[in-house]
Amino acid sequence: MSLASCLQRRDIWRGSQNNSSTGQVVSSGFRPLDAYLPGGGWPLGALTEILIDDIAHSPLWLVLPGLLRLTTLKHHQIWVHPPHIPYPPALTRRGINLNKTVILKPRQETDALWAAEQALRSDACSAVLYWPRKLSFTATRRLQLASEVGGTWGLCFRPSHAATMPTTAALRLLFKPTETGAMLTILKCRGSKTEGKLAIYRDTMSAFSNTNTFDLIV
Amino acid sequence: MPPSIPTIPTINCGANQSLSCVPKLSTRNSAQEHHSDTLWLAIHLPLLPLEVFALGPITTPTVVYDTSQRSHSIVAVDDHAQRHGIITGMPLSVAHAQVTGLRAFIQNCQAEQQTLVQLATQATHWSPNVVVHSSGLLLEIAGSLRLYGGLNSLLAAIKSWINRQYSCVHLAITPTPSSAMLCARHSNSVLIVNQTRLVASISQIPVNLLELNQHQQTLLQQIGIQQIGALLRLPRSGLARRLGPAILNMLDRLTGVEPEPQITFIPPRRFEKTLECLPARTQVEQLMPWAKILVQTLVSQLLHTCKHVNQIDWSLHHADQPSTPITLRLTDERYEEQSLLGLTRLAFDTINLTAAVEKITLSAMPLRHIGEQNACLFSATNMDTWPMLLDRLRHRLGDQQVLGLRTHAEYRPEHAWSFCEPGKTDQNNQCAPRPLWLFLKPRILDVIDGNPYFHGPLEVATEYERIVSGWWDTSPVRRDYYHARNNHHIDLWIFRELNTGHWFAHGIF
Repeated sequence: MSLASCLQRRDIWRGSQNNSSTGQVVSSGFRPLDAYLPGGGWPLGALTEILIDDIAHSPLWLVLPGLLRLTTLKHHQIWVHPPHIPYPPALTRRGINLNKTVILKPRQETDALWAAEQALRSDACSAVLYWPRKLSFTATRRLQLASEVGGTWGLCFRPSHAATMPTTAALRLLFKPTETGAMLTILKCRGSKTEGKLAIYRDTMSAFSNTNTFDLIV
Repeated sequence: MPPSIPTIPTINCGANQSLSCVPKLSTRNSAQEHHSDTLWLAIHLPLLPLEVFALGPITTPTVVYDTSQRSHSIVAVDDHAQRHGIITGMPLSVAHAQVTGLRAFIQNCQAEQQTLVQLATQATHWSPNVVVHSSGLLLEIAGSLRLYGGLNSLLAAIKSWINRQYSCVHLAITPTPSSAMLCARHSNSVLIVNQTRLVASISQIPVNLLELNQHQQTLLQQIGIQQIGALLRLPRSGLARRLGPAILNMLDRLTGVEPEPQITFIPPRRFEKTLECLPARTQVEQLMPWAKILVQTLVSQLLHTCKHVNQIDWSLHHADQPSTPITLRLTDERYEEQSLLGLTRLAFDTINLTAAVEKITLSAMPLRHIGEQNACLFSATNMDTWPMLLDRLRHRLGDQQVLGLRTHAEYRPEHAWSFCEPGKTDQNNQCAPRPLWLFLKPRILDVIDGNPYFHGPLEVATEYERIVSGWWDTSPVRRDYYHARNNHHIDLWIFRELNTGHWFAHGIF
């Protein structure tokens, strides 16, 4: 196999060149993140992995602006196996349309993976959020392929020790909460160079945010 | 009156030559003749007794026999048995003597009637007056000729509809219902549109096709009456004395002298069809061919009656156990055969078959007429819709696992929301800042040196929101809610119970 034919593959790219021929994206709502991500936003039709110390503390605020932009396309969104209750009063306050949001609580992990894959593959959904208890490499491959078929934004929250495991996800970042928001470490990013650290400022309703330099575009 | 008397294109009257010339009436000739006010189309399915067993491709000679008579006469014969010289009406013992390894089934009249009722439901598409006869269907088609553009095109349409389901069909059109059925039972493709020609046309038909009892048949045989023509020529008074007055009535109705009122079929509201699985099946996968037949029948009936279903019920019957029910709720009304079958397979996969399945029933309650909906011109036909996805998820995961969210106008945070059916949310009331995640149950926090802990010491904001509510019901709340942050920079929503002074975490921002 020649090098040129190798570079034709979608899952192989040159880290040095910022490939602009990426697919559809949706703006993340955070300027530094948009500036870093190829195309200027979360990749649609691909799987995004967010690694975090404890998935029970998954940062919804990081993904809500993106989800909000997608709901305006009149598409449904499915949350598979969320660790807690996505609190409806807070979601409606942020503009999420609850009529288009469905929560799945599968009894078994195999059902959860099946449901996530079905939802990603169907073009009836714009985004699928999935909190797997565990996820094998082949499962990430299935999810990635399904999101390519459906053009759906697949979003997977995984514990940070999964960083050592291989993945086919187009984007993998490590999330660390900080005083002002979060520090994102880009572990893998298709179509861009790997390695990168971004500081994200959070527009929080908390009493602790006395800074007014919000970086939220929404 | 149509411009020309149509003829059925292929005329196959068997041995009866005079019948074959009936449809060849010339237009000129018929101009003076009176066209009958009513036209009855009889649909007779000679192989129906065999077909209700859903045997699939037949490889061995097979017959169906009738047990109501002592001689166990054969009522239906397949191709293989026919090649061995077996004909209908032959006693079963003779057939057994003629062919070794003959498969014989007892006639299942109930299943035949069920099939005819289903066919009649579809036939209401062609005519409002459908009659379910013991040996087939009768359709009054004179009223439908104009709508379908004449007899030729109506007949072509009916033929293509029935041939899709049954390969062996006899059709006959005559001015009276009983003569139509008689002709259909005698041979295929009979067309008599004219009342005056009727008597001449049916005179060659053997009398044993008439519905007479055993005594009457024997008597007619003894006096040498073979054909209906000969029977009609007999003196009426003598006929009434010998065979009973009822026979005169029957002959008058046959020839159209007396009117013959019919009970019009009213389609049943509920769809229900049962198929027998021969032999009994133990694997879900093996049931799919039967499921496919049932789904096809349902879909074609829905199509013909312009209805839809929002739920279908499967029932798997076992020999010595209560049957296994499987209910499929459907969100989308525009289901096609393939997607229904896919959902059925999904639902069947979830059950655990403990016993062999002998019969399989599909029932459904067709609902109101489908509103006219435009299909998308350029979209791919296999595009997945949201209701279809929702149905798939529900059938695999269960209704209780696929949930929507809604808010309630309520101060107590745990009562300000609930799960609901997806898409059944009514928007929406604004409230004070709330955390994005809510714990299902508040978690009690350790307190060290007067400071609450949650994965590390908490820094608690000074502002608080007091919620005192629900004193009128069983879960009163007296709490002060605070924002708090631990040393891992996790923002929490915590509260202090005013009664006890305990700290709880209730959500994450």
